[in-house]
Amino acid sequence: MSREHQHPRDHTEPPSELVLRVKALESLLIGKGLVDPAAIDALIDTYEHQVGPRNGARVVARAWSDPAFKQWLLEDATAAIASMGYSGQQGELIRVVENTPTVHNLVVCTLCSCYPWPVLGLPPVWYKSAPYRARAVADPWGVLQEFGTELAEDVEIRVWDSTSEMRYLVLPVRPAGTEGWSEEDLAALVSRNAMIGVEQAKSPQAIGRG
Amino acid sequence: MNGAHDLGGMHGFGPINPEPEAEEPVFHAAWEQRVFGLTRAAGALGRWTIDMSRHARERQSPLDYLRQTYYENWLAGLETLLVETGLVTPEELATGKATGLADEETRTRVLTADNLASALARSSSVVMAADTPPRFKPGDRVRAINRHPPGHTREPRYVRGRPGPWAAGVAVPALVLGW
Repeated sequence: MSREHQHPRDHTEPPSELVLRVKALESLLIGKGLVDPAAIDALIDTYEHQVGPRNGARVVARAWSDPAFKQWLLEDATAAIASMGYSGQQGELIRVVENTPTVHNLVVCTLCSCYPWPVLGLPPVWYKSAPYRARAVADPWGVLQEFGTELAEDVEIRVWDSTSEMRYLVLPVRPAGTEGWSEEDLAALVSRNAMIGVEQAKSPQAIGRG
Repeated sequence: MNGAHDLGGMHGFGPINPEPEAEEPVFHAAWEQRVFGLTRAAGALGRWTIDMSRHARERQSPLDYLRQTYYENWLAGLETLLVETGLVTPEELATGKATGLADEETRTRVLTADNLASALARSSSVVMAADTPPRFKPGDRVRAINRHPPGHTREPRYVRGRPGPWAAGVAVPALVLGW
């Protein structure tokens, strides 16, 4: 099938006003000698392809596997995480909060979108959205339900409101039935959403290993 | 400031409707990529702090802040800061045409593909060494000051005047709420 058949229109849509505004700003800043477009390409590539929640999943998997590392992570997360090579901007100070059978942690940034970039990458749209920011601190049970997360009634929920200076990572409860698993296999159970606290770690069954 | 960004506890925004994690792209449009990259690259020029960049987004009209998407708010904040710091003139912003190069000192700070890795690794922590002992220790009961500064604050409205534990063991307070 030719491209024309897939896209029968014989013209492309004109760029929106917003797209033109961004293009104009970029060409202005290049013209002023203030930005290098190659650096912008590299920035985009870094956060689109290199830094992301797989980093955080490896941190969680190590904490599940190595009690000494876990203790270090809970006492000085920034240093413990940096020892795995994850550090830098928007992650200068990270605190890890541990889920247990009786405590569940949930992270939000009500004022903006603060998030631990070195371990989770850039935040998802919903994390930055008005509904999540408004409700996470007022109705965390309802928020968790919307993500399909059911907790026992006696579980205490702690909500952590991030700031630019202090960003949080949730250490989920290690799923049952994973004794003896390698860190690499364990990391496959750790979703981004579990490290924000809106979900729990996946079960072995959920990834076809039950 | 008591802006539209201070969303904690507000009603009426409806469901979150999250995209499934496995299907959500990091960016949803090419222009979002450029706004992200431009904002980070311009920030590397060192003319404003993270607080200033947040305040530039927050002090838009509340109607604009809530109507616009996230990266539209970044774009608006970036344009404000570029003009306020004199890096571009209002005329240049309006026309998109540079009337000349930026000064030489500023141009020495430009982020390049070569110096990007070292720039990203550089810590820009704002935690400062204190020369006085802290007034509070973790676990102390404190009450948040009820104040309404016109500038940027990290104290959201929903905690003002409220009691709570001082939860952090570091130089910045943590806001933690128990249910």
